[in-house]
Amino acid sequence: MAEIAGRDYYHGTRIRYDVGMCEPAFEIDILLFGPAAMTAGCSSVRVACGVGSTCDLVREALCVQHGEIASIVKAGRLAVNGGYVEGGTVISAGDEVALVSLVSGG
Amino acid sequence: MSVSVTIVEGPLGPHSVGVGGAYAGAVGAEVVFDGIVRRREGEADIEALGYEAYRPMAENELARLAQLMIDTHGLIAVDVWHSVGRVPVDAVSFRLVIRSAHRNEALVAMGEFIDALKVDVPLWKKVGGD
Repeated sequence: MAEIAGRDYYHGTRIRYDVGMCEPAFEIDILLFGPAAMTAGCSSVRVACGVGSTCDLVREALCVQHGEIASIVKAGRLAVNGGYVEGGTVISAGDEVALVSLVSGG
Repeated sequence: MSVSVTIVEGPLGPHSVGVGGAYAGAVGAEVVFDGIVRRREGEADIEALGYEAYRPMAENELARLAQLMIDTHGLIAVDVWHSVGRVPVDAVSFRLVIRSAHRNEALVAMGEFIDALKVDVPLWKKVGGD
């Protein structure tokens, strides 16, 4: 599949996009809890995504667009619609996405 | 086989011991774990912990783990409670009750459940709880 390299508007320069992923875009609110919410000072942050963005790409976008929580993002996982997902899972507008940083229940 | 998950605002009350109902005659072991807020947290003395949950997912993950324990170890019932909000020192913030025909599977499942909870269930604590 053809790719566009170095297009960094949404995710940063390290990402290469399939052509079909770059056209329309959407923004998604990512829910924050615990240390992530404390560090960001809010309970959600908005991230711009390209259509077809996978969970891994959204994590990258979250790090680029909200650097203050990048270290927490790297140590945590994303949950989509209330469940953990694989990195290749495509995230769509309307999905409920949460950053699950290192947990400490019990 | 049954699972129950309850998220409670504030500390948990006392556990009421008793086996009956649908499982009368089948249960040979009831293992109860109470997680209690201790005064010493790291290098500091505290008055309370505050718990936060991504609630729908926390409930789903707790139920998933409970069902996994039942399927893996052949348990009869797993009941779990967890607090959100402020829980003072010496109060209970987490309770796991496992019932089985024999003690060993309940004791093994108890450790496995708690280990998994501390990895997978979206619950967070912070000192103070305000």
